[in-house]
Amino acid sequence: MISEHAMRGVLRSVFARGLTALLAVVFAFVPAVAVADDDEALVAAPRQIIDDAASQIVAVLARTEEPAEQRVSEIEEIAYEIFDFTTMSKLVLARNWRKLDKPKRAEFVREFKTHLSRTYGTRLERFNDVDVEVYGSQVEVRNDVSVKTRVVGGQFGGAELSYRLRNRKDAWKIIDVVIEGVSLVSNYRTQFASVLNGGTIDDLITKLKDKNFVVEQPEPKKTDG
Amino acid sequence: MTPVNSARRLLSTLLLALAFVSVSGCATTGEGIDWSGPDPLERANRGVFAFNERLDRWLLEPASKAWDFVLPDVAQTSLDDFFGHLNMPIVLANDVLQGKPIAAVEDLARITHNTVFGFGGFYDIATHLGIPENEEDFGQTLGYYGVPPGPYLMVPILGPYSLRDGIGEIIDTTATGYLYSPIWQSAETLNFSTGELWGVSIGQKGLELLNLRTIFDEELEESRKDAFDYYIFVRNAYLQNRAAKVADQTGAPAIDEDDLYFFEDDFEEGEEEEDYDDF
Repeated sequence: MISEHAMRGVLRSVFARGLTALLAVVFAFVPAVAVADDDEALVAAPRQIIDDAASQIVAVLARTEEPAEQRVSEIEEIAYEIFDFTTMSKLVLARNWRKLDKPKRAEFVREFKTHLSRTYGTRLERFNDVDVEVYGSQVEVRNDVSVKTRVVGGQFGGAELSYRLRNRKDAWKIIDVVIEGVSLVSNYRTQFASVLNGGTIDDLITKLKDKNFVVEQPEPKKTDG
Repeated sequence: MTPVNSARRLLSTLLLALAFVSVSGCATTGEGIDWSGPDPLERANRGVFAFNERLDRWLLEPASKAWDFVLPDVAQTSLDDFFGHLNMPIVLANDVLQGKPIAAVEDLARITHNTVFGFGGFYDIATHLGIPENEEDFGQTLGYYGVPPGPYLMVPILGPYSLRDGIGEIIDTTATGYLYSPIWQSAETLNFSTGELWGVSIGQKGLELLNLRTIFDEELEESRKDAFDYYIFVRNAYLQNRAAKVADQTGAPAIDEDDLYFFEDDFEEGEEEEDYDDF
């Protein structure tokens, strides 16, 4: 009996050969796209940051024998270093940011940061068995850089996540996460605009606080896998 | 076309038609609807959305808990792979319609590998072999040739659509009906009654959706809980995802929102750089 491994090997080579031939034909008609050197220089640093953070986080996730809370707080520490929560807050509030005084801005940034880390931290458990590959990067308007990654394995295998980074105060930090084409900044911006349409910034901050408070309570452990 | 294919087609056509009728209904009564935005029918849509949410809470969520209890996770994934496999000819057709030869070859390879080595489609060996999975449908094909999404529609039971993608769905469903008509015809020769065929047809679609909902049960619950305005959350995510798929750019936002990454501060010189991260 042929082992599954051998079978995959055979299939892969047969398929790869056919596909390579076809690609060779197709690419013969596609003009080569030249990438400017300064673009490559610009994307190198942010790409490295995402690469490093991704492998660190994947390593922490893989230590499944350790308690979840400990791993989540380790991941939070990594994330806090590479996210620019001030810029993200400005972007999600758009012109409403102008109307806030400094203490209110600080309060909003703090609550929004907590919200993001609570909502995404609790979901990490589902990514125990995954890997992340960085497959591309590009320079965007305003000299931002998008670093494109793909989830390998697990329930979300094949999902595309793109990180948008901006250089501020000589440091590259993440200002948006785009999941399957859905920008987190855009999504929160439209939701917050809807809340602010019928209420004040204090209502929004109260909502954030309520949600953060609820999420911080220990949840009953689910047994279902 | 056999009665059951008509049934299959009618199921979604009916619901979508209902939505379109309500669109034109609103259009004729006027009442100063601003058609320039992405969601001119927000009030009506929110009504349908509330209905769908209640339907989910009282019927679909309990049903999917039961389904999850009965069927192991591996079987759920396998079933989902199979429904995906059945849909692949439609994906392939749309690859061709959009003139994407590489995607077409990939998807042809996916169909043959999963049919032959993937137990007729119940095991997704193609993904394990590194064959990329392309997601194309007729709504994306229309978008590819420049058709704008049009107004956003919340359809009863079926959920979010843009006018363009709803029409795309009707076309795809009709094509699927023709594609598998030999199977249904052979069922008819086995003396299934029309009613039974209707049941099977609706049952199949229902099973597909229930199984999918079961797989993403936790995500659904969490996004509902985390959202500040769940209707807006769904609409924004749907429209962004569809735009990205049309542009084949799921790695970057394709939405037409020029000022997304700008704010007024950018245009003011000499303002001190604020930082609130450490508060």
